[in-house]
Parts: sequence; structure tokens; C-alpha cells
Amino acid sequence: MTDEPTVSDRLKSIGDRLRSVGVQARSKLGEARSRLVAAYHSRPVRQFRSNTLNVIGLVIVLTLILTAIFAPMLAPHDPEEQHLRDRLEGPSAEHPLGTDQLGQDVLSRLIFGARVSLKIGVAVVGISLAIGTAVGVTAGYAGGYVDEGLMRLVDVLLAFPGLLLALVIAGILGPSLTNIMIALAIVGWTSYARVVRGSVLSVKEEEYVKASQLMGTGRLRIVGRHVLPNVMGPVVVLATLDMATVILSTAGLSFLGLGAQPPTPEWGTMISEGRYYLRSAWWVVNFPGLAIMFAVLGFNLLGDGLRDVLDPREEESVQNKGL
Amino acid sequence: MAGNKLNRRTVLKSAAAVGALSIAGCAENTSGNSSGVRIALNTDPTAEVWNTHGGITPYWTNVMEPLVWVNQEMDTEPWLATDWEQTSETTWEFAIREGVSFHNGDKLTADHVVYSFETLLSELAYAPGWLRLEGPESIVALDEYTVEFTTTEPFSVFPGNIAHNMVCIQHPDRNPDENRVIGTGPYQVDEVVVQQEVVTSSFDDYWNDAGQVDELVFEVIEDPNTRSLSLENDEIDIGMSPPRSQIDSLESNDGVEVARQETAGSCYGGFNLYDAPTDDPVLRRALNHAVDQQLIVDTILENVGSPARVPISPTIYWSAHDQVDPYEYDEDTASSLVEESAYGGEMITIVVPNDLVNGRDIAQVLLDDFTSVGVEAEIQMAERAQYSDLVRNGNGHLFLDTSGSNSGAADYVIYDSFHSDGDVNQRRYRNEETGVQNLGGEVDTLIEDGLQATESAVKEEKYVQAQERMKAQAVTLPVYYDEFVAAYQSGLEGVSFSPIPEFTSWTSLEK
Amino acid sequence: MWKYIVRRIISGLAVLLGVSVLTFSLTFFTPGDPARTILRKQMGGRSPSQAAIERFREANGLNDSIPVQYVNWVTDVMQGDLGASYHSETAVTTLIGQNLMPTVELAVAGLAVALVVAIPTGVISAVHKGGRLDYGSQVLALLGLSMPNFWLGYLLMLVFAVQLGVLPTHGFGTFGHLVLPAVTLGTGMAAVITRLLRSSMLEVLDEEYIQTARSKGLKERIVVYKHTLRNALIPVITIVGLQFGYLLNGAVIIEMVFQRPGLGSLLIDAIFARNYPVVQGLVLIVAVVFVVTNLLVDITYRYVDPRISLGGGGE
Repeated sequence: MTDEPTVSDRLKSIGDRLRSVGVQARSKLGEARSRLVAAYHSRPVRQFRSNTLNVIGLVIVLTLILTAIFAPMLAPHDPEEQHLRDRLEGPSAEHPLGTDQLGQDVLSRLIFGARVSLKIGVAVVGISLAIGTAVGVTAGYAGGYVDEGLMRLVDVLLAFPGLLLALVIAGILGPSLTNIMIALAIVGWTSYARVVRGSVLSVKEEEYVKASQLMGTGRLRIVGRHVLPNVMGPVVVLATLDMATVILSTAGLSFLGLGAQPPTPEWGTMISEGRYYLRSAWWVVNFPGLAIMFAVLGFNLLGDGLRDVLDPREEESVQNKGL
Repeated sequence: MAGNKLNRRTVLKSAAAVGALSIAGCAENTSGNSSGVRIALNTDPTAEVWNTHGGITPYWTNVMEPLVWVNQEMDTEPWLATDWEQTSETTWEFAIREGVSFHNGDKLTADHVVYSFETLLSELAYAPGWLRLEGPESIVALDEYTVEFTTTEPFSVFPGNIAHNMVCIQHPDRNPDENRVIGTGPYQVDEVVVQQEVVTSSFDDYWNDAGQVDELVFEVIEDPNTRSLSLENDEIDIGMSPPRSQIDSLESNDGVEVARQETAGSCYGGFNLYDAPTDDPVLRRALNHAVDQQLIVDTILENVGSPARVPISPTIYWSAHDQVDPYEYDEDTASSLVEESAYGGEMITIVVPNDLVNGRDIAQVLLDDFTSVGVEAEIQMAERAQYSDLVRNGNGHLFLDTSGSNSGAADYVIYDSFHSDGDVNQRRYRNEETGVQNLGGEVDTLIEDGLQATESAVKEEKYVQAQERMKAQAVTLPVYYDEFVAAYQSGLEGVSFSPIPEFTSWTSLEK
Repeated sequence: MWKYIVRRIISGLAVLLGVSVLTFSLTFFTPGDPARTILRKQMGGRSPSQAAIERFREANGLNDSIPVQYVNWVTDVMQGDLGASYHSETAVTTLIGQNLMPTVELAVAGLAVALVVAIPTGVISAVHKGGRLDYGSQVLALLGLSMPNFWLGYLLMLVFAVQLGVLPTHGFGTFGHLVLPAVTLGTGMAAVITRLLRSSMLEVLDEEYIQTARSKGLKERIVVYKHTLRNALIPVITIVGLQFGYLLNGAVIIEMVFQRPGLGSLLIDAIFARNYPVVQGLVLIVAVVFVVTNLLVDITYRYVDPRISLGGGGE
């Protein structure tokens, strides 16, 4: 007999190990699955899906996200490929939604346009959220003159027609997507600052926060542990609704000639350039119009649904419809 | 609660306001005008800039007239002046037409001419430089019907230069605050609704053939789409510049006709001759070969306009269109020229002002054409004000825009864009001794000679030579010669436009 | 109370100062020389000479340094002078005066349309909470909000003006001219009002006195419309009334599409033409309206319900 394990032993041990990995994996999977099931049956989710509109909103938004991610696979043509001789052709098997004034495939441009719209939306909402949260927390926590000063700054921006600011910024930097994003973010962060500040003010008065303050916990810590989780709900709701506003504002700026640089497929530009074909080639203008409509509808429904679940206080955050 | 009351009152007030509006509206709606002709312009005829002219635009409206007229051949013709003569290098004598009545009954004399020119010079900052007239001594009434002009420098094209509707004769009683406009034209102003419309009626004592339609209403509809929809909806009789995409459907519409008129305008891209990679003439020639102008005209322009060879429209007599061969569209030639050139993969920026009609689409076609011969390109759309800066600073490689003459003297079209000291190139030429679209040297001399030439044949020879040199160096990428289009209800007769559409006369119009 | 009002007025003035500094600096950082842009416009697209540009700059004080220009401007504003348009010396106040009523008319009519849509949908939505009617009316209200204004405007124009021929495509003056722009603006606002009204209705429906009214046997419809709606509408109107900025933003595009005169088109033309006195004057006026309405609302609330503290910290 030798101490050397035989080949069969080895194989057996490998088999065992594999089996245990499998078992583990299966149990992990089961755990995840049961967690999912539990989550699916949990109160907030039950509440969310009890409303058909919420589910419709979620489906629209998910469709949009998946379209954006898999755009290159989904689009039948290159969105920037021109065929001048095949311009303004009606819907056909080759071009399900027809071609535009440059002979580009409208469907492919819509699909890639989802990417552009989401990119702008996420960037603007992200920047607004970051600035707004920082300002809101600072103002709410510091109080006094800091609060007063920051809130007056918010007032200045609210008193400013957002369009003007966007126009001027687009003017300084030249019309482009990036500049639209910067402009909309500069205009957009104020509502987050207000919501966050409100939440901070109310959380600050809670007993447990006062208690941890007395125990000498650092302010930043308190903000991280108690304030931010409490603010999450209303902020997520606001961000979702804001996505809709940003999509509409971008379309409005495009109409004014400050939109994406060609040949970027952007929905608002597609409508505003296609409006001359309203009578002769309806597909050029109306499909992008429908795309924007569904996207905005989706984010609004989802936002309303999330509000019911996350922010039951029914914030009266009146939305400014873009432009 | 006090707050509640306040709000309730607000609601009631709003409701009352809406009610009142609706009643007022119904009453007004029944009155329409059927005898006149409604003409929709794409700019506001009552815009603030027209205060110098009493509050309405001198373009389009036929209310005020200039001394010299531009005819269908882009040539000058006596109008309120019956004759003129150059009496020295810088002085001109104009004989004023006798028997011309203003809309208020006064007779036109030399004093009115002096008043009108002095008003322009004092109220419009650019007028002295444009007209080459400065100071009160520059316009003098020699007698009741003779006026002498003294220009600041020898200016051979003076009569053509003032053949412009803005240089029109008006009565001193005009008053912009009350929108009181007094001219000598075939139509007089009845009513001005600021930012909306100008109502004019035929003037009985007009010195020339009077207008046949009793009333002309000029209104503004800036959006081209709205303009053509309102023509289809019979709200207007004539609509200027419908969107090209709708010309076909308008033409096929039974009740609507389309009038076309070649203009002195053209659309071209000007290369930045002083920055790489477009400082290389070989690359510029390659890019010229890469573009199929005919295809652009056939598709994007919907057959409005014609393919261009030079930046100067052939309606201007000294255009070199007939003397030069075009760069034939040929992708292979273009590709091999790119190979041959010093081009090393740099990005070419095509700069386009966002108010250029179809500019966005044309730029995308250029981009596609450049890409297919192996040249990388991007498009930068810019607001008009920003575009002016970008061109003058040479920020970009190809500047796409339209250019054209709007007076009897078209010289500035070539001078401003291609002379080193011209408006486009001046900034960089003076600061860095370079420029943008100016070849400099011999071309500058030729342009100067052309400008100073008094004889048409000499002017033509010099300008054609300048254009031939520019073509050989591929200074521009010509795209198309413009054509003006207007759509009108087929009940109208005698609709025809001037090559400078703003100067169109409506006296031959019949309904 | 007085101390509070004084403090609010001071901070309101600070906001106006901030707005003016911001507008002023932004306009002067914008590329594009106002002299060149405006002269070019006056000359029908021709380029002005360098001498003309210099003369224009001199005449309009554009050669001073920006701080000097700002101080000059503020001094004039203090004396009630908003300056004059670069185009023709027309006073900015005159221009604003000319364009104010059309925009107010559009705003009021738009609000009326929004209420006509939002009141039934909001009420139905709240009364049938969770039912099909609720979902249906919510989606209906949101559809208006979801369509870009200019697209909706053109579609309405195509249907009601060109196809049906019942309304004019553009212009200003009669009730007919107001309908399509008001509908375009109103549908956008309707969704917001529906949403607010729905939640406000739900809240009021829960209140005790409504329950009492019901138990007294009043007809359900009377309860809903007479008592609930009236009370639910008040906060809604207050909030919507404050949306001045929204109205101006919305008005820009609607005024462009339907060729209406108004503050929106005045602003956009001034921005593109670099007509800075008009831009600065208009923005300042908008800011003043915003600050004053906010102040009035806050003071009224405080007067009505002294428990509310709206002044921020430092009490």
C-alpha cells in the first residue's frame, strides 16, 4: 500500500468536491430563489404590483434599458448609414419603420436613440442627485446662516428660467449632448436639495438621532447611518420622475436647435428635423414622438408606483414638465 | 380661512377672464377679410429693427421706394431718381423724379432725399460705412430736384449700392412710436399690429402703374411648417419659402401653385486655408471630388436650386460659373488624391450655423462623403452668433453657409469672404497675418481691381480671374445655387419674384 | 411677525441681486458679439464693417469693463429704468408691456384647459381608487404630459386646422387663435394637477366631516362634488399658481410653433440676437414675480397657521 492516492481516489475526491460545490451552489440558488420569492411576496412589492399601472411603468422602463444595452444586436441597420436614394421610404420589411430624409433606418435610429436618452437621463439625474444631496444635507444639518444662504441659492436658480441657463451654457460650450447634460443638471439639482433638506430636518428631530448625537457619534456618521437611508425613498421617486423631465427637456432644447450634434440619433432632434415631413412622410416624425411619449409615460408611472411604496407621505413635488 | 378665500377668488377671476375672452373671440371671429391678399413672411415686418423706417420693414411691403431700382436682370434702373452722373472721383449728382406724391399728399423734393439719407446715417450705426457717406456735407440738395452725394472714398458702385430697399425715401412726418409710415410706394399703410401684421392699401396717386389688388396684408409666420400648413388651411394667400419637403405636396395640391425664382444666393463650404489638414490644396481638391452636388440637389433640396461650381451665383454677371470646369464627382479620384495628400487621419470639423436651411442634412451628406474617401470628419452645429465667431477665429476646417447679394452691387459678396481684409478673414489676417478663406497675394489684387473697375467688362475679367485661381486651389466646396420658392393660392395671377425676393413688386398681382 | 417679513424681504432682495449677477455674467460670457449679431440682423444678413461695430459698441457702452457695465445697469434699474433694446432703443419695459398680455392670456387659458381635464380625471381617479377608471384617467392625464409640446402642437394643427378646418393654425387675437396653444399648454399641466388633486381628494375624503356628511345620508355625488372637491382644489390651485417658471418655459415653444407674440418668444429672440438688455430685464422681472408670490404665499400661510415655520433655521 502506498500513501500515494490512486487515480480513482483522486477522481473520487474531485467528484466529491464538485458535488459539494454543486450542492452549495444549489442551496445558494435555492436561497436566492426563496429570497426572491419572499421579496416578491413582501409587503412593499405586493403593494407595488397590486397596481397594474406600476407594473406597466416598470415594464416600459425595463424594455427601454434592455433596448439601450442590446442596441447593436437589436438594430437591423447601422443608425448612421445613409442611403440618399432610398430616402423617405415608408415602412417595409427591410425598414419596419421606414427611412428618414437621409435614407437612414428609422427603427435603428430609435433603438440607438434609447441609448442616448438614457445616457442623458442617467447623467443629469446622477449629477443633480449628487449636488442636491450634498447641499441638502449640509443645509439641513448646519442650519442657521449656512442653511439660509444655500436655500437662497436654490431660490436664485428656481427664479431663473431654466431654459435661459441651458441656452447660455449651450452657447458658451457649443450645442452638444454633454453641454445639455451640464445645463440640465445645473438647473435640476435644486429639487433634490429641497427634498433632502426637508428629510434631514425631520430626521434630526427623531429621538434615536438625538440619542446617538448625545453619545458623541460624528455628524458624518449620523448622516450616513440615519439620514441618508431615510432620504432614499423620496429621492429615488424624484429621480425616477426626473428622468421623464430630462427626456422632455432634451427634446425641447433640440427643437430650439441646441440638441445633439448630427449624426447622433437623438429622439428630440428626430422629431424637430422630421417635422417638415409631417405631411409627406409621417413615420419620420411620429415614431420618435411615440418613443418619447412611451419613455416619459413609463418613468412617470414607475415613479408614481415607487412613491406609493417608498414615500407614502405623498410629497407634493410638482413636476416641471420640461420645455 | 383667509387663505382659502384668496384662492377661491383667484379661481373665479381666472374663470371670468376665460369667459370674457371667449365671448370677445366669438364676436371677432365672424369678421374675415376676403378682398385683400394675405402674404406670410418668415420675418416680422414690424420688428423693432425697422424703427428707422417708421416701424415697418422696407422689404416686401412696397410702401417705400429707393432712388435706384434693381431689375429682373440684377441691373440698376432709374426709379425715384431719373438719372445720375459721377461728377468727380467722389461726387455723384442724382436728378430726382418730379411729380411723385407721398402718401400724405406732399410732393417729393430733394429735401426729402436729404432727410431720408441723414436719418439712415444717424440712426443706423453701420450706414456710414456701408454707403460711404459721412457727415451732413455728404448729402446736399443742389436745387429742388437735384441731390449731390460726396463719398468718403472713390466708390464706383455707389448707384448700385443704394439700389436697396433699406435706402428708401420717406417723409419727415413719419413716426415710429405711432407706427406712422409715409412713403411714395404703390401701397400705403392702413394699420400696423405690432408683431403681427401690416395692412396696406393701394395708393391712388402713385406715380407709376398702381397696384391692382386693393389690400395687401403682410403677416409673420416664422415657423416654415406652420406657414405651409396655414396656406393649406386657406388662412394666407402667399407663403414665402415653404419647407422643401412640402413643395411636392403643395404642387400636387389643386388649389396651390408654386413660384420659383433664381436668386443671387449660393451655398458653399469655405475651407480654413491656414490650419492643417485643410491647408493642403491636394486634400481640398480630394474633398471637392468626393461630393456629388447633383445628388444633394435631387434629394435633400428636392430639386430647388442647382449644383454649384463656384461660390458666386451665375445670376451675378461676373460669376465664373461658365468659365471653370467643376471638380467631377468621382470617389476613386478623391481617394487617390487623399492618399497623395499630406492627410494623416486628422479629424475635419464641419461648422454649420443652425439657422441654415437644410444645413444639418447637407453637413451629414458631406460627412458621409468624406468618410467614404477615408477622411475623418465631425459636424459642429452652432448658433448664428457663435458661428460668426468660429469662422472669424478659424475654429474649424470647413464653414458651411449661404452667401448672396441683397443690393444692386454684389461686390461685397466676393470681397467680404475672400479678400484678406474682408469681413471673414480680417480678424486673423490682422492679428496673425493669416486668415481663413483668403488666398491673399494676387487674388487680393484682382479683387481690389474688380471692385474699383467702373466698366462691367473689366470688373468681370478681374473677378473671373480671381475665381479661377480660387477654384484651382479649391478654396471652397461649392454646394448649390439658391432658388427662391413661394407657394400661393391658384386664384392669384401675376405672382413673380425679384432675384432679390425682398425687393419684389406686387403691382402686377391680381386676384 | 414684522421681523419675519422684513427678514424675508431682505433675503428676497438678496435673491434678486444673485439673479441679476448671474444673468449679467452669463450673458457676457456667451460667445457671439452682440454688436456684430445685431448689426448683421439689421442689415438682412450682411456683415457690418469694423467701424460700424466699433460705433455700436461705443454707443451702447459695450467697451466698458463688465463690472462697470453691471454697476451702470443696476444704478439704472434702481431708478426704474431697465434700459433699452440694442435694436432700436425701445425701452425694455415697453417691450415687456407689449408682450405680457398674450402670455398671461395663454397661461390663463392653458390653466383653464388643464382644470377642465384634471378635475374630472382627478375626481374619478380618487373616487374609484384602484379601479379601472382610476388607472384609465391617470394614464389619460399622463399622456398629455408625455408628448413633447411641439409635436403635440403640430399634430393638433394638422387635425383641427388643416384636416377639419375649424381652427386657425397660428396667430393671435381671437378666441379661435387661443384654442390650440391653450390645449397644447394645458394638456401638459393637466397631469400634474390630476396627480395633486387625486391625492388631495383622497386626503379630504378621509376627513371626519366628510364621513359625517355621508352618515347624514347626503347623496354621495353631492358629498363628492360639493364638499370634497371644493376643499381639495384649494391647495392644488395654490401650488399650480406658483408655477410661473413652468409657464414661461412652456410658452417659449408654444409661442414659436403657433406664431404668438409673448414673453417666451421675446426671450428666445433676445437670447439668439444677443440683445442683452432685453434678456436681463425680462429675467429680472420673472425673478421679481417669483420672489413676490413666494413671499406672499409664505406670509399668508404663516398668518393663517402660526404653527408653520417657513423661514428656515435661526428662529
